[in-house]
Amino acid sequence: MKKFLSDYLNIIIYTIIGFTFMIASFYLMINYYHSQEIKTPIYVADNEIKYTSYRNTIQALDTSLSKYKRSDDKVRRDLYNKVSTCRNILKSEGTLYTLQTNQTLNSYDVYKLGEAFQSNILNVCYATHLSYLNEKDIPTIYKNLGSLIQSNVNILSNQTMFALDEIKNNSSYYFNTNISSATIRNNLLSDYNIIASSYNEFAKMVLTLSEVLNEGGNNND
Amino acid sequence: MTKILNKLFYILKNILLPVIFVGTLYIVIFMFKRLDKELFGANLMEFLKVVIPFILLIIFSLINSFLNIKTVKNNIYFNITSFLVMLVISVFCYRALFDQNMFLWHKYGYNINFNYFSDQMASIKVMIYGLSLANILLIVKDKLTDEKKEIKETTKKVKKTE
Repeated sequence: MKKFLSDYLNIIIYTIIGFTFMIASFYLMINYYHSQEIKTPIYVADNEIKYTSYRNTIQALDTSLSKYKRSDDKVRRDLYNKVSTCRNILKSEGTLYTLQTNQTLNSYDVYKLGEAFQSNILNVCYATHLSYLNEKDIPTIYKNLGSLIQSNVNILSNQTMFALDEIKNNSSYYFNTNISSATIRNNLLSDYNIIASSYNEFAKMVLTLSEVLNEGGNNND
Repeated sequence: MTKILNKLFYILKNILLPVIFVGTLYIVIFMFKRLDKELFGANLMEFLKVVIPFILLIIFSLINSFLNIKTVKNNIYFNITSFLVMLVISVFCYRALFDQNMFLWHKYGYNINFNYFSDQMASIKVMIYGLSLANILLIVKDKLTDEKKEIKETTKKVKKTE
């Protein structure tokens, strides 16, 4: 009886060990595969075009701000200070300005770029410094531009928010189908394009603002 | 060769066991902190559900070493599987703490991917309970074989006295 029990126990023990071994090796392999898959860089053919366009806009913004003439008008003075702060934010670490001109980007680069756009550009540059242009006591010339910027910012904000939410799906331990893995890679690429274009759009809006600021100043002089 | 490998895996699993326990505890404590859950308050049962499998495994490994359970110590299949389980759990902890390519690592602000780790929790429990069950059965088997030896020894003694 004891021999039978012992033999039967052996079968049960090795079955349990076998199952545990199977589960452990499955998770080990699938985690390794997943980590390699999300580590693979994405190829961005037109990265340099977007990057150069952004740098050129910032350069034009620098030139435009350097042309500014001191004014006694408080609104203009405040606006100049705010646009200058925005220019510094547009050039700060983590934005498209500091991104390398590589044609291959890591998934983290795209995420960081999107995060920087939302936290630095939309939350600090627009919400803290430029949103006041919609207030009642602002001259019409700036107010019109303010409402135009606001409507554009709303679009950009929704676009980048959508892009960032999509690519968060890579954060579990495996892709159950090849399609889901490919979808995330494709989303990553299109998200990069959306985010980089948003940077360009926003920089152009600030440039327009600085040009209007100069024109307003010249008219006053 | 088998004996050396067996010894190696036995030592490695005993080294990895406290490492994974501390790693899991660290992640789970921050996970609770992030959700404003008290560890020893209303959510004690939830916390214990995570910790108990690890404590069980530690108790069994102490029993194995102090009571010198040979069926466990000399079983290379059990030791390799235990080592593999510890390795996988340490990979889970490593990825939750350091894999920055997963975007939720950045999202939570603690530099830990809680989403990933809680996804793995079920498999961690399954593997640890599997090992614990196998360990219990191996101890039972050890006791059975011990009794066999005792019977053999007593019969030998009886034969000698006769």
